[in-house]
Amino acid sequence: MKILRRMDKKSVQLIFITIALFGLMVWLRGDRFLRPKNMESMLFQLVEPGLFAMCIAVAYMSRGMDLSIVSIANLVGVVNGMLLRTQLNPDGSNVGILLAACVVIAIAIGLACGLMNAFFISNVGIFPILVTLGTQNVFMGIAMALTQGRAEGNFPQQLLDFGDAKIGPVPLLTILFLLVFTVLCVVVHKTPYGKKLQWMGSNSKVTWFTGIDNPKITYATYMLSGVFASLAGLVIMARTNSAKADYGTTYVFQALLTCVLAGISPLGGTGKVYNLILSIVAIQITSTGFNMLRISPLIRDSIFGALLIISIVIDFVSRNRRARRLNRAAIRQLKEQPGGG
Amino acid sequence: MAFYPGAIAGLAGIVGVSNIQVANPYDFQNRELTVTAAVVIGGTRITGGKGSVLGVVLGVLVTNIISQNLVLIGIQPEYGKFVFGILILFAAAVQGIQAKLRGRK
Repeated sequence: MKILRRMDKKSVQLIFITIALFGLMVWLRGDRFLRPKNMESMLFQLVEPGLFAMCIAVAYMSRGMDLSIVSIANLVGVVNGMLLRTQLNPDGSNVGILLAACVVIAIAIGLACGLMNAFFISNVGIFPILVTLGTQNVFMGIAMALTQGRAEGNFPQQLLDFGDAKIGPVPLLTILFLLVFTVLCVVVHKTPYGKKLQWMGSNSKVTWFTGIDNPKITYATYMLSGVFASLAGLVIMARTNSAKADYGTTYVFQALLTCVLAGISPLGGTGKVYNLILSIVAIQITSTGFNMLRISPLIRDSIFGALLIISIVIDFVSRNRRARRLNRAAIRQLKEQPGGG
Repeated sequence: MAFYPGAIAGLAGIVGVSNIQVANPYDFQNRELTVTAAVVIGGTRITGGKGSVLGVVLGVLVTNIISQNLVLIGIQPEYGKFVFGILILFAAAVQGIQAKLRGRK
């Protein structure tokens, strides 16, 4: 109990939610849910939504928004797909170099897209949602124009083997995802950049007058988000053996839900990134559960929508209560001071 | 006044259905893009505090003229999203730069 009290409050909540969901699934469909095959596919599936949730998390912390992430991922997939289709030798002798080039290109695209978002947000001064709504469609339009709306596919076997690889029972992609996730946790909670990011998110005027370079933080944030999105693009390539300009547009919504559930507020500043992994798992259990219970995807969307509203309401209420409590404490302190108040 | 947008959206639903004579849950999805473009082009400031109904009507006219005539001037429909994305960025950038210049003054 002592440990529970010392832990972050949101983490405790999320652990209970996750355990409850897990228990509910075991109770309802235990025979199928607990199969090793199912566990494995859940670990496999949570990688893409997880990466997208990380993108949204950094954007949220800066009190911004990044709607363009799925488009960045698809752009990465399409460009790499075209590269592989046109440049691969028939005997497959240059596969290694090409796959390395794919990773470099992916990260370059992610950085460039993030740079564009950040330029419009911090230098031109447009509202982040508006910028990323625009760039979302610009990036998707570029991918559409490159492919004429067709899907790229038939990637080399090495890439697919990489996507399917496992270390013990755990998919390799999941392990790599956990590594990237740990890096993000360290960056946000242990580096000066992360501190400045959260401060800027809670009050950008104050950080500006304190001498923190707000535009620089904004650039770093959106470029980070772009890189995670491009990694998601690579994962989609390796996992689905195809890339399409308008694949997976609902991921943005799921990522928003994951972040809000993890206590990373759209109002910026607050939240612990490590809670994200718990909410990613919780969302994954829920969506697998919906599949197993044969609940139609149409109903699933509206349930997720309701969940989003509920978690936003909880977030706002607790934020208001906390603000009021701090206010009262400050007033009490002022009254108690001799000569003050 | 929060009920007002809902009421107008309901009206839009009736108009839309009477136009196309079928109703399905996905009919007007992904219209947010053109609608947002229309509102921003119309001069409404997205952070609030500024805007006019006439501007929005003119914005809707502009986006409609563009989306109806893209095909006629020989641009593939795939580029439609690209065009509207650019349009939003452009209109919002004009507003942003104006605000910055005003701030400098």
